[in-house]
Amino acid sequence: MMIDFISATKHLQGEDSIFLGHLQQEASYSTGWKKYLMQGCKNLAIWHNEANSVMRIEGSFAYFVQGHNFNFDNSQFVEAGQYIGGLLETNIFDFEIDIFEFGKMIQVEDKPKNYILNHRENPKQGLIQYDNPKDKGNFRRWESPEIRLKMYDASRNILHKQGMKMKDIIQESGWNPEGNTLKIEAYYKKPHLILNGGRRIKLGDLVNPNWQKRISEDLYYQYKKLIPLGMIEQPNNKKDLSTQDLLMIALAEGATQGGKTLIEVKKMLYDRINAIPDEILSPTDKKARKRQILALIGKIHTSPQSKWDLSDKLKEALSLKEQENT
Amino acid sequence: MMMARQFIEAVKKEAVYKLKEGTQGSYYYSSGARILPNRVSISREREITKVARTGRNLLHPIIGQLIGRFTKEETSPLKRYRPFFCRTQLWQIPEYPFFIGYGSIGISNNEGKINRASDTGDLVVLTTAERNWDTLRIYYFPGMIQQLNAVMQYLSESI
Repeated sequence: MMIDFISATKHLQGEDSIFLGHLQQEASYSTGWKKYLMQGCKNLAIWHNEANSVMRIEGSFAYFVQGHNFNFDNSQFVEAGQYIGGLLETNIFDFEIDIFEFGKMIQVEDKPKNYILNHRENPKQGLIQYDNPKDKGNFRRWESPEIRLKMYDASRNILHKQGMKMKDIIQESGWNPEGNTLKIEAYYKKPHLILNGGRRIKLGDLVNPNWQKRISEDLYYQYKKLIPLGMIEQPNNKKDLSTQDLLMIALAEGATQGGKTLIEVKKMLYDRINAIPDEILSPTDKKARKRQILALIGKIHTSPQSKWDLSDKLKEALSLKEQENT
Repeated sequence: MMMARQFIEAVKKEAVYKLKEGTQGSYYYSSGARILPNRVSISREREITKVARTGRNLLHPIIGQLIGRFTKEETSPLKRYRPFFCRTQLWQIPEYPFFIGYGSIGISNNEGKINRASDTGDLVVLTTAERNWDTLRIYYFPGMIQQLNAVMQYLSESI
């Protein structure tokens, strides 16, 4: 299981002491906060507000101790936490989590981009989809006020963000640059609300078996809020294969392979009709054409099973299948 | 579990200390990271008083001792309480004869004493290219005494 970014806070009590001597001070703010860096492969941010007796750790333990997040197990997480706590001379496992990120790598048969583009938001589930054109379909995120669900091409991330030396290290850890590696990750903005009924979660909780099960199940639950797009089914009778039908099937197929839904195909065609001046196509003509389009789209069926559905793979990767059977 | 090589590399600090002419073991900072005091005294095993053969002393043979004291002007994460001493035994690791040895830095505590509880767990590894130890290179790894094997493996392969 991989815990990546965390932000965790402790309200220091009278007997709590911390040692900041090993850190480099990065910034000081009028609010009383001071930002320090703990040196590692990627530095970890340590925030301290002496007046309010508050301390915060921010960063990825994986990046801190190994410079990448391709793989990072719980024992490594604990070891990193012990090292950080050792330098700060405090037990960091009782820090309360503000934010954390939990994800899983999945090996897929097709290009990760195709899986990403073929997952869409479900309007009823409260996640809003965001795409950045510069990601070219290799990254997609869905957000609600409490969570950010991400899906991205993990290999491409390494190829574009890591240097040669680190690429070699990651390769030694099992990364296959030619492979299709997809990462599904949940960034919990308010983990206590989603996972613990409003009660704060401690950093040490994340690695215990009960919590591992809980966050694994939640990642799966969050994934299931998405809709993997189905494939267009070929009609098997002549009456549904008119030239108009064939043209619409081809259009829908192309659009869905590019990650669009049939509703979006319909909207695209409606927009095109609406853009035609009324002198050329009267409102009545437009209505008639829209009716035709609606009828043609209505005849298109998508397979109930999507080839892009990652439910089984994710369940297996999260070891949820075994738990279900026992 | 062993810390990754890249992490050891990232946290490594090193400094060069030179023997003051006319002295047997008085070394002064010459270059590199300023963590240890400007002046440290390094004595070899034959010169130090007999120590109990317990704990780490059983694991590795003692080859010497490093003692230093920070002056009023110096700053260091190791300078915490008066009289600002830092000290460690130096143990030899037979598997790595290229190195003089290693130590785990202990510092003055709030009672001014150095004891087991005031050991920082900071690892120092000493090496020299000279038979008479005129110039010492001291590697410093904060909080890494538990990672001694990984650090020694890293150093032996990288320097």
